[in-house]
Amino acid sequence: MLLNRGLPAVSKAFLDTTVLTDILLKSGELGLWSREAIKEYDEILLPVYAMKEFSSGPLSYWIWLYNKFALTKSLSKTILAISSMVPMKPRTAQTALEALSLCNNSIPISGMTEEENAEFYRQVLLGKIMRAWKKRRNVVPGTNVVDDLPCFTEGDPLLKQEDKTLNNAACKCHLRRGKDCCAAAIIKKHPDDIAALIKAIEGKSRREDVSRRAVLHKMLNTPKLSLNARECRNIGDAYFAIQAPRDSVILTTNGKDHKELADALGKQVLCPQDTP
Amino acid sequence: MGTGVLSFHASTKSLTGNLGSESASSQSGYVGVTPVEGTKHSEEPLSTLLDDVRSVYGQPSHRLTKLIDLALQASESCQEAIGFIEQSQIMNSDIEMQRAQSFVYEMLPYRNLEEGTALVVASLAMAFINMAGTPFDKKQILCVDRILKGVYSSPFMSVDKAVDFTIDMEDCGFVMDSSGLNIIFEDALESGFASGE
Repeated sequence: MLLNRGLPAVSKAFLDTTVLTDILLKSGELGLWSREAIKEYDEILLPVYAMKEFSSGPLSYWIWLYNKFALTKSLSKTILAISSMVPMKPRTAQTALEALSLCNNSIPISGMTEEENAEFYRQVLLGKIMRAWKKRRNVVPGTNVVDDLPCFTEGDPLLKQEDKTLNNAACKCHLRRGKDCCAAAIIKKHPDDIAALIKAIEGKSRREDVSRRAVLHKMLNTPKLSLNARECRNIGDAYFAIQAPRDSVILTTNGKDHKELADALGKQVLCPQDTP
Repeated sequence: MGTGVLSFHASTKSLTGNLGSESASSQSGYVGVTPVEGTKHSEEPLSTLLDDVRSVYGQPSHRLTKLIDLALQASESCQEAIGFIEQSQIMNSDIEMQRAQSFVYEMLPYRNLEEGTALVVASLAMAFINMAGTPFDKKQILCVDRILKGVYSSPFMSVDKAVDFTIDMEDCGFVMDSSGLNIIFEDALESGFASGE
């Protein structure tokens, strides 16, 4: 075992959203740990909840970037749009300038207009997004997709021919009136686990802990009340802690958050910090 | 007329395509041309291919003719490169792949025939950029050749088909991401982009 330092040997990996994202959307050094880590396991379990989070999170951000290229038709305006979304630290600004120069050097033929450059990047991004979505259920050969969520529709991103924008609105929760969220229905079967997780994050003041605690309390104390789509999202990492089989290891790049929850249930987590 | 190495099927046009599904690929709005496996390039000179194109689309445009011509020449270079690599002539193989790279770059201005065609040509160019001069292995050359054959025999390619080609490229070790763009965007994501932090 290359990676499982100090942990009992297990052959099953339960993937969280960060690892799924690394494998589907990152290349080269980025995401390398995740791509190597999954090779260590005989069985890869991928919960549909991870795909749901992937679609509404990382994939939707890359679609945002893609749409910037489609709508601004400009590399520099797209870079400006990115920088306007975050408070740029000096290091980040420096990195951005270096990266921008890398982008410009990537244009394979000289004399292309700004619009042609943007079109080139738009098409490369279209490939990246569609490839990631197409491979989501088969991140490695033999991936076992588990915990189906009937209220979550895996709709493909749609390309609007008029302006070349992408829309992934077809990929979302379709809660039926009066029906509970499918993810919540799965979690509510484990009230003892829910109680243990509430205790594990008791007193924590981070925004995600506060919202997770609220939704866990609701599921434990008023199980007959339905969860809405926002509350389903707030379950987050607790979903993986409860649903990971006891003979599996939760693979994640967000070890800090997952370990806190998984430890409370006596489950294993493996993250990059565990490996030399 | 053509040699029979191409087959044709009609399809209907749609403004909004469902890109991930097989059915959407038939909505590209153009007539598709599907290559037959195992066809040797030498059997497909430009004039023959253009005869086939003419029989389906009418008189081909300058853009279409150029794209097919360049893909054909790039494929020819790939085949030469495969021959050299089989004789362990790595340098000569790499010289042929440099030619192929040059033809692929020349294809860029002519790629916008259909969204899938543009996607696959742009991805191919990006893959060459990311190789950064490293010689291609045989598996990679064969992969590039498959894609070039796909382009010249199916110049109006659906996005779905193009994505399959790029998955094939990824499986052969090609990287089609823009490293510069990735650095900028991943850095922004880590800085709290989209989370409001």
